[in-house]
Amino acid sequence: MNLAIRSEMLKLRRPRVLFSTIAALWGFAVLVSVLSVATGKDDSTANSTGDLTGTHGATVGFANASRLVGLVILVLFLTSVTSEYSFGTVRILLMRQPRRAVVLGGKLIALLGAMAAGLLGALMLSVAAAAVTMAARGLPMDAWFSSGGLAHVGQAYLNAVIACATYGAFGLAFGVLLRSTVLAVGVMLGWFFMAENIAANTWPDSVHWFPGLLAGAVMSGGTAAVSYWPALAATVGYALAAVLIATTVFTRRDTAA
Amino acid sequence: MMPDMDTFSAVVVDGLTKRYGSRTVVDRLGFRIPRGSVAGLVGPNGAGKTTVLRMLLGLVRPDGGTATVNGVSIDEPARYLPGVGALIESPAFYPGLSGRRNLTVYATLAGIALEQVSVVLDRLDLTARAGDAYQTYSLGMRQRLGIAAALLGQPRLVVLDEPTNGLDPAGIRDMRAIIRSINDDGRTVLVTSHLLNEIQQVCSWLIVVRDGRLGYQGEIGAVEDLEERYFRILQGDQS
Repeated sequence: MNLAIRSEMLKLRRPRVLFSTIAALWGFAVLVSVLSVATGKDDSTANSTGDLTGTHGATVGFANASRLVGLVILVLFLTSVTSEYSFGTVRILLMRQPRRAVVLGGKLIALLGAMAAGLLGALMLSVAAAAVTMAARGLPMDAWFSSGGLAHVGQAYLNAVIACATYGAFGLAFGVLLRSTVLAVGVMLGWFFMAENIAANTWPDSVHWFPGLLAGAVMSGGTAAVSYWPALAATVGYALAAVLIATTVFTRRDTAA
Repeated sequence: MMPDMDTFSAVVVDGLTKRYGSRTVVDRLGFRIPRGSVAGLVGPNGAGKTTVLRMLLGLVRPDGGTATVNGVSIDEPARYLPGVGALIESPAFYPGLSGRRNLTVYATLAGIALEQVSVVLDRLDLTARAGDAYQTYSLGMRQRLGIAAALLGQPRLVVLDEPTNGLDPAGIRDMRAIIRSINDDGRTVLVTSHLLNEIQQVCSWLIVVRDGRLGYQGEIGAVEDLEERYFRILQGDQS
């Protein structure tokens, strides 16, 4: 497995992949963070000044960016698989490492490691951007640097890792299932960013069932509609199911790419 | 198949069958490849050559029959594939990575010493361009990089699927020399082509496949009027 991880890391260091992913990840996190702080008002239902100046204020913007950050992670995981099919490299990988689960496992672990590092950078930049915007608005940030505030930052990071890993697991699974970048991205975006949003606005219970909505709830530390622990359990369940399906299909299907 | 024949064969295929839906692509195919030979698997487009290779390389599961590679059943690819190098269909690399980095990716995955990357690049005369992105390589260079990747790990069997496809005459001549030099190292080489002439140029052992079935196998030198016989086989005349 160690060799498969190292081999995958060599591919992830491609400048185009690396810079475009980091730019999107960090860019969305900073943008949403600045907008969240800049637009928060006393009477806002979300991002109120009370929220922003509270112990979890530092990560309000970061949590709001969950869907966009999740999208970047989803596309990264998905294209990491589909590009192996479009380049034809999957057949060389499987000849060089016939234990297919090892190839997929190495890819997953390498991507999760890269994702965790990217999210850490996104969180730090997001908090920094939020702090600058708070200072510009003259809002106090004392609670951010209390022990409770710092604990919230740590919790926000863990939640982001779990939520984004779920998006990544779906990207991996649909990449393996569909093998086509265009098709898989289309299906995933259609589901997570259209179907789920429509469902959320028309069927309130959807937040208890749909993976993207649940992952968003985890990243926000729970919402009024769904509390944290049930959302976490369901999200982890979805992620494990996606990885299991991906592994089963990848190890059993003929490779004619 | 007789045991002593297996001992002297790099590849033994017996009754191998592959179906896609109702279409039988490889139909109870049987052949052997003598160890140390350059064997040519020849047949028209769609004869099932690449599917046979895919089954031998663990990429596709057969629906029937058996095969061994270097004495190991193809049901256990992890046991025999470290001793096999292959260029199948077309060279497959990451376009944005350099030739050297591409080989490093494959060598790392297989646990092959990274010093071998420089050795195979040098052998295929690619050292000067090893640092350039693969997407900038000419077709001939891509083919050579594909063979360099196949030679990583010093395999006992090298499988080359249509290695001269798309090459200009000079590239074809170079490719023949490369194939001979691989064989001179004592490795068994399996080459596929849809052109009998190509196989005649470099191979000592011939396997003719038609509609997924064996048309002929044997030493090339033992066949008189090979071209005439080949076309008779393709027309279904087994005499």
